[in-house]
Amino acid sequence: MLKRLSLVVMMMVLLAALTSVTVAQDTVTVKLWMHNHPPRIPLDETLIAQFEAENPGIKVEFTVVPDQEWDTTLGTALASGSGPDLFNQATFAMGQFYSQGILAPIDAEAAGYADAASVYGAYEAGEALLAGATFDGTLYGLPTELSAYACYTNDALWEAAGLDPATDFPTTWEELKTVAEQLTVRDDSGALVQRGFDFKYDASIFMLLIFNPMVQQLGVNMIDEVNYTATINTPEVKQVLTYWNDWVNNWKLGGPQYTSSRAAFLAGELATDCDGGNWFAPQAEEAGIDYSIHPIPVWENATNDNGFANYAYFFMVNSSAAPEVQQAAWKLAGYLTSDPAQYLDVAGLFQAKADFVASEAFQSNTIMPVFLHELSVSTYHPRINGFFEVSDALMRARDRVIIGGEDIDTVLAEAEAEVNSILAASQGM
Amino acid sequence: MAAGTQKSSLIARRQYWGLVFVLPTVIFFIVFFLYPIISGIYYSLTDFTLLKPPVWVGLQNYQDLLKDRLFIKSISVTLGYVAGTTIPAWILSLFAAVVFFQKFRGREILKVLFFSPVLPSLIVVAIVWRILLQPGGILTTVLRPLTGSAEINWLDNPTLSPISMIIITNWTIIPFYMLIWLSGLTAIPEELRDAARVDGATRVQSFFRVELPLLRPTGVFIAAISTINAFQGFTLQYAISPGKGGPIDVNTTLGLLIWKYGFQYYRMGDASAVSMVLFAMIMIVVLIQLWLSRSDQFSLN
Repeated sequence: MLKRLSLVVMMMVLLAALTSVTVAQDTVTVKLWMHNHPPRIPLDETLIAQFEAENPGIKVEFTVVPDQEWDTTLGTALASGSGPDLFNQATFAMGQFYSQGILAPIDAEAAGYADAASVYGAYEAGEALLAGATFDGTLYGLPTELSAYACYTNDALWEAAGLDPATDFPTTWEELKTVAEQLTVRDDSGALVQRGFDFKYDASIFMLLIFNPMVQQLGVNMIDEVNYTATINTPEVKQVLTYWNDWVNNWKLGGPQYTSSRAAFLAGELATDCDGGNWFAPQAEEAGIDYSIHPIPVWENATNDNGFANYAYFFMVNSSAAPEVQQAAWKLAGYLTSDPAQYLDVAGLFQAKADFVASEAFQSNTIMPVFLHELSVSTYHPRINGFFEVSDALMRARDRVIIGGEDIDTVLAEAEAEVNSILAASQGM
Repeated sequence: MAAGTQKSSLIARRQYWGLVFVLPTVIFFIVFFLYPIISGIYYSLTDFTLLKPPVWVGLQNYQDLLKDRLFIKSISVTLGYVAGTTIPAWILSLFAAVVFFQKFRGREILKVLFFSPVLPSLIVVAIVWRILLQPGGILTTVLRPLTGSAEINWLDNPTLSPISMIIITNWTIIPFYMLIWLSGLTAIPEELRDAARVDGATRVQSFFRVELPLLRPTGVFIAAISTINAFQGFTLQYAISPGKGGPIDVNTTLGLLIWKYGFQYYRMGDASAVSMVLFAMIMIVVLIQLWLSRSDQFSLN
């Protein structure tokens, strides 16, 4: 009797072990990495739990990486082969990731679409807005957050200066200077205590997100991402750099030495800030600022009416992950981008699904149509290898003129040579 | 014979256990020091973008560095920062230690206050100084009677910005080195000072002829660690300088350049080559310091 009981117990143990092996073999684990955006974390966690419940064969390992450590952590993890299977990557380094073969093309079916073409169709202005993750006609990502900048005005400061943002907001850069002068406040010693408007100087990427689009309005693109060449020593670039230089040194309306524009706007020291996306609105509200939103100005002699550069974060899948993991990762990416209304409402992130854009909820939103307009008239920043190196070189050129007081023609000629050299070296990387 | 065999077996056993006991440290050293150094040397000889496997290029990265304008500028920036944060720190921390070695009312409280800049992390220090160094900020206001300027670009002026970095660094490190000097001063027997006094030496003579020579090992130690720390300058420049190393790269130290090349520009091979150059520079400078300070007369004799 005892012997038989032992045999039964042994068989049960064996069966349980075999079952667990089978389950382990059938379960696919997807390592998901997101950069830290606190408002979206609870939402992600909820949706991931729902996804796991609906897909018992897929387990999600969710990791939030602090923003400051994102590039370093992701780069070293990918280099050591311990990188994530699915990650939320900004478009800035996307050219680098694509050319290094890190990115897997979208598995549209796994993500819940009929085919790749229907992914573009599912998004408002899909061809343009998904261009950030499209290389050689192939899509490599699903957007978690599409961003374009617009101008925020601190309406109380405008009104104090006798201006009405609704009617007086300038449409050209030339008019902006006049308005900014009216909004600028200095103390008895001449020190600036309130700026009317100022550019964002503190990080080099804004040379490609803000400065280059101002050049593009004049019909020239400084960086050709297809041919990897730079066109910098031109009258158009000179016009823009001269404007920036005058802004700082001749008109004395601002400069890189002052508090960064976003922080200054939130502190009530800057009347107009043109480098905030729709995600900036909650911050302005939290700071107690009564604001309104306006399109980016253009030049009087503009040939294009683009605003500043579009950029985005996309879900990307690691090409070195096993095929079944890639499939599960795309499925998860599709799931996490299937509820754009919640992401906009809870986390302030815009996922431009066509049906959502057409919905009453979006159309009645007071600020989103302005951002959608900016997204539709603008293009993505250059998606190149060496994005940050080129940005740094352009910032160096800017500072040599604005801070160093060097001759603008000499600086532009040298900057063109330097950036072309960087592009030539990075093209084959 | 048997006794001899027994003794040698005892020694062998002791050596065996000795090896067992040092093994964890040896493994720790191999994993966390030797392996990274050898890897660094290897990567410096490769074209490595971090995202793709490294490709052997021999000495190409080092040859490229010789023509690299940013690297050459970084060397001069680093040397300036080293000079600005080692020599003044050495002298001023010694001076502070001598002051705090004297007996006066409120000394302990003042010592604690003087030491307080060492306590917060460098990032916190950077944020505080960033506020202080606003163009129309507190420091500008305090100095206004002297300068007459309502706004001073402490961080965005290419001349003032590296000087600001040096001042902030000295502010944070001098108290720490002061403490080391102070422990050195305390270790000198009082009898030697008394003897000098009996021989008719003034306090100044006693300091320069008796105490300072005996503080030589402390001085060498401070010179060495301050030089190493200064060569590795990164955090402050990263956190406080405009555009991380600006304006116009005047704060791009070699430490910052390594980070930029490796993790911003995806040029890990070049970053490793710069690391090796930095390693060699530190090694040479410290060896020179040790050689210059060599002496058999560190003892109280």
